[in-house]
Amino acid sequence: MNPIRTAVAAAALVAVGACGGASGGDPVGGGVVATEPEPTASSLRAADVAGTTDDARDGSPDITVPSVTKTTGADDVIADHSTTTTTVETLDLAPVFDALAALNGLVGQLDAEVGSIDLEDEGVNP
Amino acid sequence: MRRVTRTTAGALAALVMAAGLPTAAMAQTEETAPQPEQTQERTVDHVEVVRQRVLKAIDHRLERIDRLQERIKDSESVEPQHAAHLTADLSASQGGLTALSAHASNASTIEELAGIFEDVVYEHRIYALRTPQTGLVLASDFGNTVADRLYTAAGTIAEAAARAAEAGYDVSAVEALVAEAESFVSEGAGLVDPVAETVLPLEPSDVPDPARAIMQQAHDDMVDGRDAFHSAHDLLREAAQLLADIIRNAAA
Repeated sequence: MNPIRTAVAAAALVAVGACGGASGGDPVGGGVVATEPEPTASSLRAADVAGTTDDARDGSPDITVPSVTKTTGADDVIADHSTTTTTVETLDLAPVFDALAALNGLVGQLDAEVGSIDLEDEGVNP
Repeated sequence: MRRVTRTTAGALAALVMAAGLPTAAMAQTEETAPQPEQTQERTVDHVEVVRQRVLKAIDHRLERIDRLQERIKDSESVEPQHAAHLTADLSASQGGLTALSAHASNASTIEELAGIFEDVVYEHRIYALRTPQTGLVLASDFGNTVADRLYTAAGTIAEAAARAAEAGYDVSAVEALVAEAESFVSEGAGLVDPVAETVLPLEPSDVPDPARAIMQQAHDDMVDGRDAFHSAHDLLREAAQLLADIIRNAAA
């Protein structure tokens, strides 16, 4: 990795952070594009999906969307026409799978509900 | 009532047989003219046996009503207006059956008890109508809850995919899976949702026709809707797994 380019990118990111965290991939300053994780307020949690209890919801971690940094420095444009560096810090979809597992339980419960319907119910000693 | 007239003999026969009485007893009641003292002796015994049979049938139905009321009360997904409708019907039957129990206790002939027994069965239809009707309504409303949760899960994965796409990943395959899952959820909801409103208006007089056919169709729709939800769930799981793989592979 070009140390100069990295340094430029790092400096640009610091600048982006100082500006209050531009997000959504909007160009900021001299060609620098920064995409940051959404604030936690928009994070989705397993319990929200599964509709589990408040206690379970409180204990559910946020879904961590990949924190990705893209940089395009002016020097890169000159040298390579374009350079993009993507860094994945973390991706945690475990809560999504937890939610889907809970949903599987709900669908199974629906199986039981439907299965218990007896259209030929004769009762007990009718 | 015409139906009662048509079925009294059958109910009488069923009662006598179920009570373990010799069929001759019924024949005597209907066709022969035994000596007065014989009739009185036999009738007293038989009336009591049949009375117990009728009271037992009423008790079983009242117990069933209690269980159905409990199921409605315990349901977290039943629509309030659906719960109110079901509860009102069951409460009416509860009152009606309790009154019939009092009548049965005071009845003095087998014929009278047979008429009461008919009302127990045909005027309330606890087994043939109220039980499956309650089950279908509860399942329908629960199915709607499942659909909502599936939609939410699809939205969650779609949002995660969108944010990954924003970060530069190609998640078009994930988006396609989510779209297909949403289509299954929509199909399932379209089948499951109308069931409650379809079966709620059915009354004992609708049994067997048209109630049987309507409830059979409603049951089939519930089964098909449930299957669609299964497909949706499987696709969402596949989508989530694919998204995780895409990010993981890119990081490697």
